[in-house]
Amino acid sequence: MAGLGRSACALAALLLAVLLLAPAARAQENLRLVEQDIKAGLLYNFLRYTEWPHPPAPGDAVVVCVWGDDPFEGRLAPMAGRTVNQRRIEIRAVHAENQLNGCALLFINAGERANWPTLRQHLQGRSILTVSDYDGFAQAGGMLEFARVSNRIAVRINVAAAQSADLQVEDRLLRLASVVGARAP
Amino acid sequence: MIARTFGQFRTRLSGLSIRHILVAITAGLTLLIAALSVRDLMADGERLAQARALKDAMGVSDRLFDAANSIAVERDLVLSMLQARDSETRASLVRAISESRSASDRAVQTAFQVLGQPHLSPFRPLRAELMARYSQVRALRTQVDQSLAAPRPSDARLARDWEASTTALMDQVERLWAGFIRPYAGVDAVVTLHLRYRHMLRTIMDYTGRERSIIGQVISQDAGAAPEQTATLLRDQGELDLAWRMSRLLAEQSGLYGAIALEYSDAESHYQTLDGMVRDLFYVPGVHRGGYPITPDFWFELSSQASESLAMLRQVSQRATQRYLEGMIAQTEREIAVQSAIALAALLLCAASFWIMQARVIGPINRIIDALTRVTRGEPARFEGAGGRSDEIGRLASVLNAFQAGAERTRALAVERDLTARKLEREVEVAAAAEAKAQAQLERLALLQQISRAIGERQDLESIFGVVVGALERQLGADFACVMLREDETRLRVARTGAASARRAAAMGMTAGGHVAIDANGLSRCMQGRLVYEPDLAAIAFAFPQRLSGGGLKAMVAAPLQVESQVFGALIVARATTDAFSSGECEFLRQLSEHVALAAHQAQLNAALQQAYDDLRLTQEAVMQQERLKALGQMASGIAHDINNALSPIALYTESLLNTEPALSQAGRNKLEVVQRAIDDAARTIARMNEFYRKRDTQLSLSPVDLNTVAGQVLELTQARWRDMAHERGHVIEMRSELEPALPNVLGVESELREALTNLVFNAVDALGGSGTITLRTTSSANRVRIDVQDTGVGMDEATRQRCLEPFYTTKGERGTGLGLAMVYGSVQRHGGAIDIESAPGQGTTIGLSFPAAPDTETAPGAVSDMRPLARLRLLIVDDDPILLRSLREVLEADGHLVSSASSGEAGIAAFDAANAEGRIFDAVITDLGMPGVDGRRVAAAVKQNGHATPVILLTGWGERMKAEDDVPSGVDCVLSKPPKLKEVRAALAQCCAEAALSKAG
Repeated sequence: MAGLGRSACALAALLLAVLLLAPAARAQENLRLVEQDIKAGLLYNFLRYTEWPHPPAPGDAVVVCVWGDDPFEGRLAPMAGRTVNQRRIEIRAVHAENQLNGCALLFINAGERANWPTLRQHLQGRSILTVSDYDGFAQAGGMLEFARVSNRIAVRINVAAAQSADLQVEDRLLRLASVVGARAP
Repeated sequence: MIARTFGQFRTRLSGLSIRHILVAITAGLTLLIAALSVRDLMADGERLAQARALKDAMGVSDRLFDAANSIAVERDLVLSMLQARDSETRASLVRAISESRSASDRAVQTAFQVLGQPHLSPFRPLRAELMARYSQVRALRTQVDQSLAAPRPSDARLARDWEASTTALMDQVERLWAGFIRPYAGVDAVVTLHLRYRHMLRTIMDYTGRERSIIGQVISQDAGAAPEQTATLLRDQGELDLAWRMSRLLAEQSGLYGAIALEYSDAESHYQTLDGMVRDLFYVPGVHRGGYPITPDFWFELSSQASESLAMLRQVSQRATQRYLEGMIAQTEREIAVQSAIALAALLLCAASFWIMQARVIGPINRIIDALTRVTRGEPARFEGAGGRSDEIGRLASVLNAFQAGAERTRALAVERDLTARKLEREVEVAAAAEAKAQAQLERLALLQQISRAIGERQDLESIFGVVVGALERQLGADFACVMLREDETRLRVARTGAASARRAAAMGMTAGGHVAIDANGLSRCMQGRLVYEPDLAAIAFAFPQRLSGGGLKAMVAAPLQVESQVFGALIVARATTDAFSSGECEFLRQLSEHVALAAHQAQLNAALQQAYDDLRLTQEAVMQQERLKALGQMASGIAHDINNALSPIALYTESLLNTEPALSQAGRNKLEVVQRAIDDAARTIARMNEFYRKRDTQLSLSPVDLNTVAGQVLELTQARWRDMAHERGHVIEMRSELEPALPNVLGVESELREALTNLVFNAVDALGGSGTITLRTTSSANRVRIDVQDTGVGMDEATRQRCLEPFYTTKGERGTGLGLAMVYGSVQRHGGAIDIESAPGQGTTIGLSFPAAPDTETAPGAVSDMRPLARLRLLIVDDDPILLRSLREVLEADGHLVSSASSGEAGIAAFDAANAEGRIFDAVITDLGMPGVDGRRVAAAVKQNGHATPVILLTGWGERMKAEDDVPSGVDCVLSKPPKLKEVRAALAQCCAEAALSKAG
């Protein structure tokens, strides 16, 4: 019911936007928003097809942390409360390293790419799946990177980085992504 | 009706023991439990079979479901590939397609295999159809491959064919699944919900597949969605949304949700996420303005990933259903097991409760009942039904034990009381019996008194007996009563029978006068003085009881009639029933018999008294007669004395003449001899006169007697009576004498015999009463001599004959003394003889006397006359009669004796004393007895007084009597009767003086 309600609201907002605003600019904007939707949704798939060495106990939440400002403009919020691998998803905004405890996935705002090396150092030895959407993140030791290939969303994966963090990435995820760096046998 | 049936049922039920009821209840419960268990087990078995079938069917449907899904995935992938415009896309799908192909192949094969099972034969046609359709799809696959291999693979027609074929195949599978699963739809509510849930899931997958297909086409063509596509998407989206919610609802309703919640949540989250990713792009018309942000394969991947979650949910829910069915089966099996166990437990409980009831209730109750039964029988018993238990039975047993102990005490008391009561009862009974006995006793006493009074009033036996037997018959209820008197040692004579039992007595031959022999048994005991009671006469073999028994009598009492231990008769009382006499009656009869005996005895005594009185009267008469006779006799003796004195000189002189005068002429001598005989007869006649008043001596001096001679003498002596006196009265009596010649003598006293015979002749004369014949007959036989006196007179009747020998019995009235025959009888007895009397009225009488014959050696004492005095004796004669004195002196002097005489006693004594004084002692003294003053006795006493042995010879007219009566006075040596005979005097002198002479000579 909530989904229907939400859908109906969204639909009403869209119709209003189509009727009232300039179509082209709106289209670009909409596409960008759709892209963010897709990226936010993909985070779900990442959670689903990654194995943590110490998965949270049943009943504990899988914590999705967003480092820096929220690039999804609130579109991650619907994901909170859903379940993945039979665990509840929790969204948390983090701005400091000491807030990383308990994070299963850490999305790093593209604006924070400067802090990435530091952060990376900090994440050393922790089984936290790191995701970001700036180009070169996977190369820079990040694990999953939203990229744009031929104007379409693509996923790059640094399997070695994931493995070094003791994370197993399943084939289903690899089918979505193009591998960066050395691929595990 | 119902009430009656219920009543009958209650009656029957009350007749059952608890054990039976328990058995019935147990059996009923057992049957009930068994029936319920069987019913439940059958239902459970059916449920189990259904659950198993359902599980199999679910397995089959799952396979078909899988197959349908696999086909759907392949279809969508292939469609996507056929619609893909760039090779990159196609290349990325190759692997997915091949995987989906093999997956759908496997699924379809599996479905085929499952459908090939024998019990699914109804689905054969569908399976064949499915096979055909599947081969069609497989054929299309090669076309698809060829098309994909071409540089420009886009082939709309092929895509349509493919879509149509695969959709048909899917529909086929769907139909199969639906048709297959439909029969099970109503089996179980939960399973039905499961099936509906799965249908929702299937719907979700269907819509998902269509969405994926449409969106894939849209992305591949990189164009905006056509309006109808958007409409489809929107509609499907709505449907999908609804399906999700329905599936959630169904899952929750069916209880499935709990098992699949996590997977459900994952799958839904995944779908919502996917939906969130693409909603703006494809569901909102006009959003897309060229260039989609994802590639078709990216889309397919995302979509299939979401489908995978769905597939996982499906698998989980399949497993959950499977588990549910397994749980159901297990549950059913558990229920069966539990029900079996419960049934078994219930049966065991039944058996156990039966056993417990039997062992702990009924058994102990029965033992208690047994014990109670024993207790009521009075046997010792202990209630051990409980064995130390403390339950109700145990308490009951202990209470019963206590109760029994109390009851024992009570019983002991009761026994004591009972004993007392019984004692009292006995006392009462005894008292009652005593009262009854006393009553009976009183009645009998009254009867006894009545009888006693009645018999007391009677004197004669006959009427006494009559009263007794009459009273016994009337008042004691005797059927037979009689009195019997003892006749001799062996017989009883019936004296009197009752009037009522006269007929019976006649039948038994026991009328009055009849005789009954004394048996060895009853009557003899009765005759020994004991009361005899025979309760059953028929059982006694002796004659008398049998005789009574023959008369219809069954019980008899014989009471002895005894006086002073002398049984003289018996009282017989009998009844016609056995055991008819009580001891009281026996006692009564014994007492009655004593009374009767006493009365009878009294009557007899009375009779005897009467007899004695009569006898006394007779005796008195006789005594008076005798007194007269005595007076006569005294007178006669005086006369006889005088006559004797007168005769003495006559006799002496006559004899002297005859002896001393040889010169007498023969004629004179003859005359003298007649004189002498006449004197003898006269002397005897006088002597006989004394017999009338003097008693006979018992010691006779027996001498041989010729009965013929005596008979002749008697005829002579009695001539006066039978001839002279008869002739005077005009009668003729012929006297015959038939005397046997040479008749042996008999030893006896001639005079007595003569007298006896004379009496008989007189009696015979009296018996003739007129003319007739009298015969005197003597006979002898062996050693007996017999003399009969026979007459032809009136004879005697039996009574007279019997009594004729009694003294004072006479038929002659005043003429007779009644002593004649008595004297005869006495004489005969003294002679050792016998008397027999033959007589009958009118036949005359013969009286015979028989005596033993005397031995022949005896010689008649005839030598006396020849005796002569041996010596000359000095004699003193004393007599007051001078004539006698002189005649005797002369006679003795004639014999040569020296005789002194004295005329009185005093003179005699004086003479004797004088002679003594002179020394001239008399050789003998002859003195008269009767003298005035000093009589002969005193003379004799005086002679003997001074120690002289001088013999004294006493002369007396009573000489015979004195000798007989031992009246010889002291000092008298010899007694001679007057008139003295010379022979006798000589003999006496010879006898007395021979001794004197001898002593003198010696």
